[in-house]
Amino acid sequence: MIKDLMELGINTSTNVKEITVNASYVLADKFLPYCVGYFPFSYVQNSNLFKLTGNTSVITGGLGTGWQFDFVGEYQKRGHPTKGVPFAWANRDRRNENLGVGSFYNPDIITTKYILSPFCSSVENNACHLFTRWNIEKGISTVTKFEEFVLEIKFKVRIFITTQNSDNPQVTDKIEYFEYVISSDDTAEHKINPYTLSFDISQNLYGREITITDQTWKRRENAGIHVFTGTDGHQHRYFWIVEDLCVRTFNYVPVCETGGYRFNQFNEYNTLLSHDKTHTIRSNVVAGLSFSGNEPFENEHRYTPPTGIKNITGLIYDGRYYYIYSSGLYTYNTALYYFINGGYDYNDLIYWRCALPIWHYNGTWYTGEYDDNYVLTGNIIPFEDARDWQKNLNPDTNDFNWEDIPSGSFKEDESGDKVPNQFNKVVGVASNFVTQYLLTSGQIAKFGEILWTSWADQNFNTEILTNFYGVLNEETGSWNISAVLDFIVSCRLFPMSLPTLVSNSPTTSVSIGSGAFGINCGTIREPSFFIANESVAVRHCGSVLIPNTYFDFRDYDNTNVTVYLPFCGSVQLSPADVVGKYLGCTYAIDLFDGSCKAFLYVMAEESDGYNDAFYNVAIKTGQCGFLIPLSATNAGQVASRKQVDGYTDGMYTLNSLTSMFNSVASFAEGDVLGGIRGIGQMAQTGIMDNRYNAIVRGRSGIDAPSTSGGSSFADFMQPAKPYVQVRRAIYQEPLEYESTVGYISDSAKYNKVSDFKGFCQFKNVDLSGLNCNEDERNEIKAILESGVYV
Amino acid sequence: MILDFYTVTDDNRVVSKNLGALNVELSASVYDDCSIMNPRFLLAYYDVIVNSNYIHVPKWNRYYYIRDIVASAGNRCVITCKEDYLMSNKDGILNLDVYPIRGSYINREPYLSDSSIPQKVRRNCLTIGFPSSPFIETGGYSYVMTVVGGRKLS
Repeated sequence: MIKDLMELGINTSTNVKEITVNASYVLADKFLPYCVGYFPFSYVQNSNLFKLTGNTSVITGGLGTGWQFDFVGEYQKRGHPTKGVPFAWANRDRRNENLGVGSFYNPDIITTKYILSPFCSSVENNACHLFTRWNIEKGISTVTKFEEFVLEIKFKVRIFITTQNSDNPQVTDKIEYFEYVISSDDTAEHKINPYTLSFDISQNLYGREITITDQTWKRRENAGIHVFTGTDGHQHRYFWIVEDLCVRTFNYVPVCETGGYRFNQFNEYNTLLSHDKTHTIRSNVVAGLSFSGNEPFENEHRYTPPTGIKNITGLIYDGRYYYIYSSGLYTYNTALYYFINGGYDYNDLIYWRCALPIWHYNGTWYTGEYDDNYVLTGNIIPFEDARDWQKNLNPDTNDFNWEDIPSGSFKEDESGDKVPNQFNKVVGVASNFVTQYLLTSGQIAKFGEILWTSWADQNFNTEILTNFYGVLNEETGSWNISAVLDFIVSCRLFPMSLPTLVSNSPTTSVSIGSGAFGINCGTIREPSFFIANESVAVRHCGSVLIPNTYFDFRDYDNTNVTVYLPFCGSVQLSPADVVGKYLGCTYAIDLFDGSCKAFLYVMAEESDGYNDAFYNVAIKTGQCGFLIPLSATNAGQVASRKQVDGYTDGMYTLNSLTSMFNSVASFAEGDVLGGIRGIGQMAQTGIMDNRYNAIVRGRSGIDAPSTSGGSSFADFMQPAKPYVQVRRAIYQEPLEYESTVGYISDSAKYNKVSDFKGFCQFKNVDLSGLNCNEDERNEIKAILESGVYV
Repeated sequence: MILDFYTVTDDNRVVSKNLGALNVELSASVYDDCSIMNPRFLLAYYDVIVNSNYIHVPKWNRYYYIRDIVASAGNRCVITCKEDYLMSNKDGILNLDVYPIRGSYINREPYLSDSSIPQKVRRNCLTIGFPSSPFIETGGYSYVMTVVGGRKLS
């Protein structure tokens, strides 16, 4: 199976090979070519092939730093009797190019062959990134199965990097010579089978199997799926593929699951735009909007084209179902969109011999540098894979209406819509009655020290002490500990750094009632409005790729995906939901009762952003705020002994106000009015007969918060970081397994027995037309269904 | 009745067997009453018969495996045969329209579960940590104290 390097966990950004310019020398590491996309209808790309750094003055124009590309190769077509038909285009590209910072290597490519054409995509930060990609003659495309591809190809790419001597420009220093070979050594015919193109490119990129097209494909365009480099120098693979009229990101759907078809561009040269660069105008490019910025989800139209797209037609072509959309200029909101077909024009010699199917929403044409504003599109589905309603569309009319598209429907492996706006809310609790303080362990100890010490010895301002409402025993000079503790709703330990979670955390003094204790710390409420700004702290854990191993059913069968979530426990996920996809994790933590919820969701790509979530796969509840035991029954004894000890044995169950707020106040999403309504209700029920004590008394009727699901300090012994464990069966395929036992068929074909070969097993064999007696029929049927060699 | 004797080495499940060279063509008689699917033939004994394992009966247009050879007095022998249904009907079979379940050179559907692939008892376990966590291992914990009131009244 063709694998995608990204899915294999190879970080493309690490493949940058730097070429250090040292005086007149250019040194380079050996680069790693790799294929991106669904090869071979994609192309070989040497991502970040070279990065020029160092003394850039050496390679700027005038010094004659040159790049010479020399491509030679050979291939064997399917059915071709001779192995190793050479092909070369050396004359096309064997030349020197001045390559200075800010200039491009721009080979003069005439695409009459299957070529690996290098081009320089961008120059940024004094680094030039060179790419190669397949170009094939323009023409008409069809959906072509892999079987039609050539059997084997080998090619070498030699790249000479030369510079001229800085002292004597007439002298050229040949500096470095690179060569790499891409080949498929296995010439067995069954290797043509798209599902047996199996090799581990993660171990040997040079051994990556390469297939290109045969002569029947020669005249077709292979615009395929493209990769571009963003301004950050990294690859961006926001492939928006027109498939089933659902635009989806390529990353999201595992490459191997897109079936044995290749996607390509449909081109017809019939109109030229009035522009200095000519472009073809027909395309299957459809509206898939992507934004480089933080556009809200609502602005992405997965099922609705941008306003202005009118010329939507569908065509039955070559037995396949195509959706053909016109290129051109369209508007969406106030932006302009260019839909540019993946075709190219021979007269376009500027940068792109093969224009990419891109569109740009700022109304400018492609100028040679990529950025995130360019979205590369192009895909075609085979007719048999189309949905019924699509097949029934009249392809000869333009009455196709996007409104007919069932939004939100899911096809197998289709991404569908994203989960809208989860975690985006700021939940504040309207609270005029409580304050939450953020304390350190030292401040907690200090608080206890104050309580356990005679107030008279602490030089409190007696004016302030009048605010303590009976928590002082003026006869003994001690604190009335029980009364103090009555004011404390809870004291919880959170194993995290809360100040980074809680915004607007002003420093104030810990107060009981309205009496300040002189311990300055942060609060979780906004003092001006008495609203706990963030009663729920949200923290994202990032995302991980749940990798494939076999790229077939074995990645799902007998596979366990278990996610360990600190303070929540473990959760088993369905492999079908997450394998080959990015799994994100976000915690929402209730700072009142210490509970937490861990959200696990699938995303289109690696991201820290929860807005990229496509669907939740699990939500697990736990407890991460742990009650600090404060003793009520021992408080008096402790106080009389005047012990300085903030912690004693025995649990005094502190009731949370959470339930109270549920009943008499209102939880609101930053809604002050909710709190006001709650206060009003409290007044009606007589609760507010005393400003604070009534609330304290009211606690007796409030249930204590549940601490199940992780309330023990022993939970601290567990890892504090969430992780995923993928346990997968190990399979053993004996030698000659395929030829003797075979693999399960897609059952899509109803063919003659003679169309098969090797070992075959058939089902529900119909012996009509066979001239033999009944016993013979039964025997033949049984034999065919148990397996024969054809 | 003429019998063509062959030595066939193909697996019995091969539809179109390679007969190789004809060993010998002999005349034989049907021995006793017998089924056409499991016939016995009486014929003169030749050593080449012992070296054969397969016959073709042109008159019946059928192919047979030789299951047993019984030597009789008078330089005769009786061979017991079993019909090769595949070879006898190969043209018709090859022309059948069928759905393949599995095979060596078919369009493999990789995402259909296939329990026939041997599976080891042992399993691989891959652990992948999330990039970050809300929680910290040790130290730096936060204490949140919720108190009634807690603000200084003016």
